[in-house]
Amino acid sequence: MAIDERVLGLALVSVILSALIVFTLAREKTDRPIEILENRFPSVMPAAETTFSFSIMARQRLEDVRISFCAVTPAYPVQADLLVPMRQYRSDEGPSEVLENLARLTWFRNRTSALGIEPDEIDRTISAGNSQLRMLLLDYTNPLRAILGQNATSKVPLIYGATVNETGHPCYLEGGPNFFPFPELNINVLTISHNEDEKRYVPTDKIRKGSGQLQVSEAPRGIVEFRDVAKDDTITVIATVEPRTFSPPSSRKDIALIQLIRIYINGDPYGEPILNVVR
Amino acid sequence: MSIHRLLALSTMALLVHLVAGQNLPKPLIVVYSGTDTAIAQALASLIEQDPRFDGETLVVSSPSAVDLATLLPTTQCIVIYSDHKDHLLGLETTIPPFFNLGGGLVGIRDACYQPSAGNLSRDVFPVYGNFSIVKTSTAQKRVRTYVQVGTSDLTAGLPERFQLVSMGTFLHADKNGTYIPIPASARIMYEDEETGSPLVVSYESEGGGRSVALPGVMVVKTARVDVYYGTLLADENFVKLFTNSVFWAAASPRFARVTQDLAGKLATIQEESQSIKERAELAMKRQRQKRIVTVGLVWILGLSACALITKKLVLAPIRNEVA
Repeated sequence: MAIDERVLGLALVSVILSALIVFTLAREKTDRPIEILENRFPSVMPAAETTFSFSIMARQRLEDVRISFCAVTPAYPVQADLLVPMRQYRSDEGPSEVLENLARLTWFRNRTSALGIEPDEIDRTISAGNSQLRMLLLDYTNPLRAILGQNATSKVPLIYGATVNETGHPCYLEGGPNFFPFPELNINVLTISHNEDEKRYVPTDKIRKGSGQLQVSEAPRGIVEFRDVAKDDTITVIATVEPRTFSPPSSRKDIALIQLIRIYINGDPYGEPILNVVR
Repeated sequence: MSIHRLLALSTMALLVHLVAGQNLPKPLIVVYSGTDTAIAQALASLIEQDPRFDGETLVVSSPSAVDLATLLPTTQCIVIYSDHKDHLLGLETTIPPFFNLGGGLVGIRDACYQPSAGNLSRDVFPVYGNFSIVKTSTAQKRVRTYVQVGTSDLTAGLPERFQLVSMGTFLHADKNGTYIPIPASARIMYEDEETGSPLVVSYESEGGGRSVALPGVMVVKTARVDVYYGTLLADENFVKLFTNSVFWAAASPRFARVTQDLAGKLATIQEESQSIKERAELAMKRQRQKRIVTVGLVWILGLSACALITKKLVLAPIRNEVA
C-alpha cells in the first residue's frame, strides 16, 4: 500500500526539524566557561578584622582551573637605591619613568633581559578613592620560578611596580605570589573550598585538636589549582585578615594593598587580571 | 681544586667561548658594603684586577639590591662587608636560599656577628659571633695576627703567619670573652694568635654553596687612622686572602647549575601550559563525542517513537478507512 504523501511530507519535515535541533544542541558551546560569583574586599583597610572572598562557578566541565593570587604593597626604597633621589615627576610622566629611577631594578631588568627573561607586564589605570593612578607592574614570578625553583624565590619580591597620580606623585610597589604579604602574620583564617571539599588554615596557636584545621604555613603560596571541575562546581577562597599586621599607612600613601587575581582555564589565562585596590 | 687548575679551566672555558662565538652569560660577582659603596668599589676593583677573574662585578648599595641579586641567574658570588646591622636587614631570610642553591658568599665583619646578622652568622658564615673585641685606642698597633691551621686553595700563596690591620674581631665566646670552639662542620683556615678564635672560616652547604667568613676585618673609612681600609687593601696578604676567598666561593655550582639550559627551563612554562591545554582538549573532545552519541541516540529513539506513533495512530486509521 502506498503511503499517503501528506504523511510522508509531515514525517520528512519532522526529521529535518529534529535533525536541526539535535545538531544545534550537539554543537552548543557556553560563551563563558566560568562565572565570578563573588569578589569581595574592603575598599579602605579597616582597623578591625576584615574579610576578602573570591568565588567562581564553572559553567562547563573544566579539566584544569588555576587561580593565582598576588599581594603587592607600597615599598620605600632607600636613597642609595634611587638613581636621582627626591626626583620630581611631571604629570605627563608615567610609572615606567618612576621604575627607571630604581637603580636595582634597572640592572636587574638589563641583565635578565639579556638572558631572555622577560616579566609579565600589567599596565593599567586604577582608582584609589578620588585618585586615578597610572600603574605598571612587572611580574617575574613565572620565569624566575621556572629557573630557580620555589625555594630560592619565595623570600624575595618577584613583582616590582609603581603608580603615579595626577600630580606626578610616585609610589613604588613590591610583592609576590601569595594571598597576603606575610600570610603567617596577616591571616586569621583561610578557607579554600571546591564544593563541599574544604580546607581551613589557621595560625598554629589557634588550631583546635581534631578539627582537621591546617597551619597557615602549610597553605598554598597564593596559587590554588583544581582538576576535573564539573559544571556548576564552585571554588571559593575566603580569608579573614588582621589589618594591623600590614605596614601602617603613612600620610603619603595612596594604597595599602593591591590584590592581583589571575584565573587560568585549561592552561590559558582567562580574561584580564583582576585588581582589588585597598586604600 | 688548585688555583692553577682553576686558572687552566677558566682559560679553557674562555677559548671554548671564543671559538664557539656564542654569547654565553658571564658570571657575576656582587659586592656590597652598605649604603656607602667606597669599600665595595675598592673590593670589586681587587677582584677585577686578578688574572683569574673572567666575569663581571656589580657594586650594590642596599640590602634590597642584595636580595634582588640572589634572583639573578648569573650571580656566582656575593661579597658582603658590613659595619652596621642596618646594612644586613632582611638578608638572613634571603641569603640562605641562595646559599642552599649552591651560591658562593664571602662575609666580612658584621656578617659574622649574631646581633647584626642573625642566623647568617650561624647558617652561612658559621663564626657564631656573639662577642666582639674592639680596640679603640691607637696607643698600640691595631692588627690581628693570622696563624694558619688549615690548608686549601684559600691559603695558596699566603704565609703561615701574617698580620693585617684591624680594630678587632668577632668570635664565639663565653661572657668573659674566652673563645668557645665552633662546630667542626666549618673549616678554620686561620686563627687569631691572641684569642685562638677563627679569622678565616670556610663552609660548604649541602647544596654545594660555599662561604668564607672573615670576622677579623675591621677597618674604617677615615684616611688619617691606622686602620684605614686603604691601608688594608694595599696589603698584598689581604689582597691574596680576599681574592682567594672570592674565587674559592665563586667555584660553587650555582652559576653552572642555573644557567645551564636556561632556554629549556624557560620553555617549561610554555610546555606545562601546552600539556594542560592538550589534556583539556582531549577531555573536551571525549566529552563532545559522548554528547554527540547521547544526543544522536535520543534523536533516533525520538524518531522511532514518532514512526511508531505515525504507524499506529495515523496510518492504521487511514488503512482502515481505505479498507
